[in-house]
Amino acid sequence: MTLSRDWWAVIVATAAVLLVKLGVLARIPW
Amino acid sequence: MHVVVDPKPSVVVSTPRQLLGLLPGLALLALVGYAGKFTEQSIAAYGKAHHLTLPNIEYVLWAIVFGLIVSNTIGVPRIFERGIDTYEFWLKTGIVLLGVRFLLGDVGRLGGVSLVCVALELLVSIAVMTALGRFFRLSPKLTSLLAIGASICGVSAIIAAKGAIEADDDDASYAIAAILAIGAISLLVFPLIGHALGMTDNAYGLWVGLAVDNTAEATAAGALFSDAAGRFAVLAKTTRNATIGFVVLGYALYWARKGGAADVANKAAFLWQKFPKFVLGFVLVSGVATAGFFSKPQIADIANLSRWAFLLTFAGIGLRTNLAAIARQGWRPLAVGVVGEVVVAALTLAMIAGAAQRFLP
Repeated sequence: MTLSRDWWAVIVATAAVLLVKLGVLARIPW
Repeated sequence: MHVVVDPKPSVVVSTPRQLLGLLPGLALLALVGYAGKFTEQSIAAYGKAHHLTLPNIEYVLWAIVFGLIVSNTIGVPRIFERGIDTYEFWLKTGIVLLGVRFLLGDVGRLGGVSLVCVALELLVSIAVMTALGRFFRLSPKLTSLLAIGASICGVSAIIAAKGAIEADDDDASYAIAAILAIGAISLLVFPLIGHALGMTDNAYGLWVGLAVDNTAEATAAGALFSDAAGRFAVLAKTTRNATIGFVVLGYALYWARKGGAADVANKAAFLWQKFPKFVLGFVLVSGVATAGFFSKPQIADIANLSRWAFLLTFAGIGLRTNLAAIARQGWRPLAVGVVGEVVVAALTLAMIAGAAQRFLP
């Protein structure tokens, strides 16, 4: 089974959000 | 027929080898995108150091222009293609992350205003495109594809509809080329008009979200005006994208009745299949942020991640736009697209002017 690009985007973004919440990803520059 | 954009419905990454295959293209997206950001910052720093007032040209435009230069001069070798194709994935990831900057109430309120405008915009663009397609004697299915592309969300809508109404590859290719060419023109024209009219961030963002067809170009055209306008453009465009299933279903049923496509057995399953799932992610992140799940620095971090994702998207827009291939598609679909878009842009602008006075802060 393959996931659509949409679902991949949701999964990756959710993972990133969780990593920020857990403090693993912090002080992201821009 | 040269297909301008290869309609790939999904990124299939199941082996480490395939994942490795994405790396060259991803590196190129990052390089071109960062070159755009670096150029914006360098010009600003130069102006500041020399006490000069230089125009602030956003990294968005630089990234797209650098991408265009690379793809239309030296060209993009095959090895980069798979990675560059992920630009739409980064766009959707960026949109989901951007949900953190919206309170759910705002999504409901502005989404509601957008939805009313979207409903009117759908009717207008379908009617205008259908009339123009008949006038320019385009094939009925090409006309349907252009109407779907212009009314909802450009390339993804055309790809979704292509299967549903059983259109030819040539027609889909034509329609995609026309929508992409118009998207490129929109990037230049919309910010100029927005500034000339002195539009607010909200009104401009809503207008761009309603009138620019492809989500990547709508996001870029919004961000070219201002950060806030970019966010509103994404919200309005996401609302518009959410209607994709209904419009494609309508056309599928229309062509099935005319005997030109297979009937749709399960309409609910069809709607769910066509529904852009990243919209759910956007609403989810917005809901979690509204519930106070994140601290202020965390919100800033997630918003910055969203900016990086968009940076890759903007580089991808330039790298995937082949001007020679667009020119080869012929003038008639483009003429229908341009005339139709001008009418739709003018009507949506009038709608926004009305909505801005009553609903927009």
